[in-house]
Amino acid sequence: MENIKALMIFCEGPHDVAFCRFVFRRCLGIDKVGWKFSEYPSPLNQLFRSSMEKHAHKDLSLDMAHKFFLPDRTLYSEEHNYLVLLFNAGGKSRMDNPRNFLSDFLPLLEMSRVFPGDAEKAVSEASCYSAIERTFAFSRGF
Amino acid sequence: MAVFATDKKSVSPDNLDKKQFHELQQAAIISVNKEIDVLSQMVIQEKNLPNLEVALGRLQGIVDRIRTSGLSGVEQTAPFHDRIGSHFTHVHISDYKRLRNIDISLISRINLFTGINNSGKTSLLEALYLLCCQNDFSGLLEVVRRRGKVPEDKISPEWFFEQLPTLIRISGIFDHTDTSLQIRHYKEENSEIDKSRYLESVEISSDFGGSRQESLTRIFKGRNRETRALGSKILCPTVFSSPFFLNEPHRHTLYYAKSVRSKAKQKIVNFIRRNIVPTIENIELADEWHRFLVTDSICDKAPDLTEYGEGLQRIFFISLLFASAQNGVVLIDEFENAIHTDMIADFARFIYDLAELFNTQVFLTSHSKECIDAFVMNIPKVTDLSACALVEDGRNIAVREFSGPEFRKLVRAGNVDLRRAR
Repeated sequence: MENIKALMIFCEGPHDVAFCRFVFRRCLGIDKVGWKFSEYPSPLNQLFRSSMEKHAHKDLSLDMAHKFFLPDRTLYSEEHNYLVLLFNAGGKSRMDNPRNFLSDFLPLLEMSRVFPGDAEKAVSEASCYSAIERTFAFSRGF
Repeated sequence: MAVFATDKKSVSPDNLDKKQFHELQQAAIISVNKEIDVLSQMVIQEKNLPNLEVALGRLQGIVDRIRTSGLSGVEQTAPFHDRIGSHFTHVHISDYKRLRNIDISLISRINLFTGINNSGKTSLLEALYLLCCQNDFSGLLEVVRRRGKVPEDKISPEWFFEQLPTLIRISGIFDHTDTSLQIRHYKEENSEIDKSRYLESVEISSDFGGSRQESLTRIFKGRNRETRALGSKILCPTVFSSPFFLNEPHRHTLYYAKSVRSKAKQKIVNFIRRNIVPTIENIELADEWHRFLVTDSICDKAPDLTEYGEGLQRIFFISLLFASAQNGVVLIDEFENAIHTDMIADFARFIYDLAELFNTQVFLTSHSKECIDAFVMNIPKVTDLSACALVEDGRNIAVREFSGPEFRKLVRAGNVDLRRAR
């Protein structure tokens, strides 16, 4: 199974996401991809699908965008197997969004090779950075 | 056969003194045997066959009731301790069929096992059963016969040895005490054995906290086996349930009697009434036919339990096991078999309640994600749950173990499928 290094950046709003995307594309040549959930490496494939299902199950008629937390943009370098996920937290007051996301992601990351689902790639190292007043930054590798 | 018409109330020990009761019982048994001798000399008319069958069923019922009181059969073997502080906390399978050097250390009250076909799930339950049976040869016989779906009286000795692994080695920690088991079979070079019919011998050595037990069973063709053992104590009462062994009336009779005595039967009937068929009022064993009859408010006559769905029957029979495994272990193969998905969550909760009530440790296998998730999400105390996947690791089998809280978190976060663990 192929190893992927993932970087997750939590931004305050859509403008920050746009700026980050611009920097990654212009400075590092890492561009956006439009993957379906099943195309993401383990455990993101299951995490995103599960998050979608959980919230869709609760209520489909309301504004879904604010009900669950998915990356606004996904950037990928096939050459280096780097995956960058840009999240829009939805404002300083909504720090629960990244926290909840990480509390689900981190235990799944440890098991990314035990439960890969249909994925052919797995996240082996993940770094997280909060661009919201630099509230946290850390790395995990398995 | 006048004895069958005798009014039970008139011969109960309450109405007679002990000596009279004993004499009457002896006389009745002699009378039955005499009448059977007479009948065996006759050509029986076909019209009398139903009455004979009823008599046979009633006699069988009497024999089974005696067995439940611990006088003979599998119930005869006593456990080392009637009361225990804890159940299994660790199991190591060194050699048992495909399972080699398997360590299971995350063990709780309810233990779920899954894996692809032929990954060793049933073998794992068998290994646990053998370890519980210690040096009791009948435990080994039961495992082989169950796997082969063969009635006890139909088992061929040659086939038995074909099925038996050359060496079985299992160990573990039960009730904070080390225990181990080794089984091997070989041809003895003993001149005292009648070699004309001798096939092989099975040697079972077990140990529980320094209490070493051994047994040697010689198997002959066309002759009863000979077992030599100084004693035989089991770790704990252990019951093994498999969906392919629904029709074992003599066993259900034993389990039923214990469930009635412990008042668990009414809880089981209540569960069935509340969750499956609201009109069911009672389920009772009819000695005459060795069958279970259902009191259903919408039926004029009590229908046989087999007239209801397979799932209801399985729920009833699985639930009956617990009273027979008090302070012991229940092993359930393919738990979800025949049970509707919507019912599994409630039944999982009920299984947990029964396990708590009888202080029973449960090991169950499943092929169903719904079943696994039903336990993971519905057990009130998730720390009482462990989940384990048996996975192919090259030519060997490996385990992926999870505590209940850990696995619940994984299911909630990523809806992970234990069956597809790698």
